[in-house]
Amino acid sequence: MKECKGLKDYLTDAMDEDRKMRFVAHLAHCKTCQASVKEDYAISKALSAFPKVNAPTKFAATVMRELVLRKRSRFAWGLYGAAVVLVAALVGVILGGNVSAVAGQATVVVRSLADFGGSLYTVVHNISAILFGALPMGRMAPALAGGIFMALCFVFYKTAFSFSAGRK
Amino acid sequence: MDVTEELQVIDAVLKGDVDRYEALVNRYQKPIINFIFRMVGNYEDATELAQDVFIKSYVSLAGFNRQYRFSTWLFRIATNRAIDFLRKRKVAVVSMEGDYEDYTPQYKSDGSSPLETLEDGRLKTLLGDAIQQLPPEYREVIVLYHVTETSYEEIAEITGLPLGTVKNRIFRARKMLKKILEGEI
Repeated sequence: MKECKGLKDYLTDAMDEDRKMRFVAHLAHCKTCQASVKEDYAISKALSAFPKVNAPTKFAATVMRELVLRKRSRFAWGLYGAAVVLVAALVGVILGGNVSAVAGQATVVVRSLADFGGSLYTVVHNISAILFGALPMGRMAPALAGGIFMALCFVFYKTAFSFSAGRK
Repeated sequence: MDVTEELQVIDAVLKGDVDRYEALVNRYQKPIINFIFRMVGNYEDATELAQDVFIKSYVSLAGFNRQYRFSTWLFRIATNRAIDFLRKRKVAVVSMEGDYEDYTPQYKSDGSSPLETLEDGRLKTLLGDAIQQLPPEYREVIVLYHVTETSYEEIAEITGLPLGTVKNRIFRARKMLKKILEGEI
């Protein structure tokens, strides 16, 4: 069904008064336009009469609780940041800006970390050896040990995440 | 709550009085949930998305441009969130643009429109389903105009579209709905 010119503008209220009057005169004798206008009005009316849904009773309270949690979380991160800065400042004060002493201390720290790493490796290696020896699954043992390790990492990550988000 | 009061509340919230934000949530929760509900077609999703909208609005409140109304800004966030959700959900939306004019309804015409013969309740049910079949860009304007009773001008501000395009899309959306409904009857 071919639309008459001006129908769209009439139905979208895009006509000035003059054009509108001319179109209304056309409408009086054009059955096609009358049908289109009638249908468009019927749909518009039904759309506007759609029943409205209500917000859940505690909607606003839930939003506000979420906002408070976020604010707390941001505050917590701010505290972490402040703590890091404080510790750095404290270290600076203790070392008193003595560069060679700092370099010496840094070397000592790196060495002790390396030693600690070495010891840790030995401990893990020994525990693994004991575990592998104890597990009667042959080739499955490394995969199982790896799986357990990954699961522990995941639990650690989730715990750290929920703490940083301010939830337990 | 008028525009001036809204701006006062926004200022208070920006100064750290978070509790005042609840007044804005109370004022706009219903229109936002209704808008999103008609966009996504599911009440639970709509309430969750509406929560996101209010949280996003709070988080970026400092960026609120006072030359617009708060409702315009909020509906812009809601529109983006709903369309983003629909994209992610990957609903199989059949593109109606350009096709609907060639569509022939499967009913025998006796000269009168089948829409006129429908009882009110059934028409609303069918219409609710038909809206879900519209492409999102048509759905957003028709829901904003008819369901949340937003003016053409405000829809243009919300969507960033020229006024003429908004009117054209609403008109075309209604024609698409008519074709879909005629196919359903």
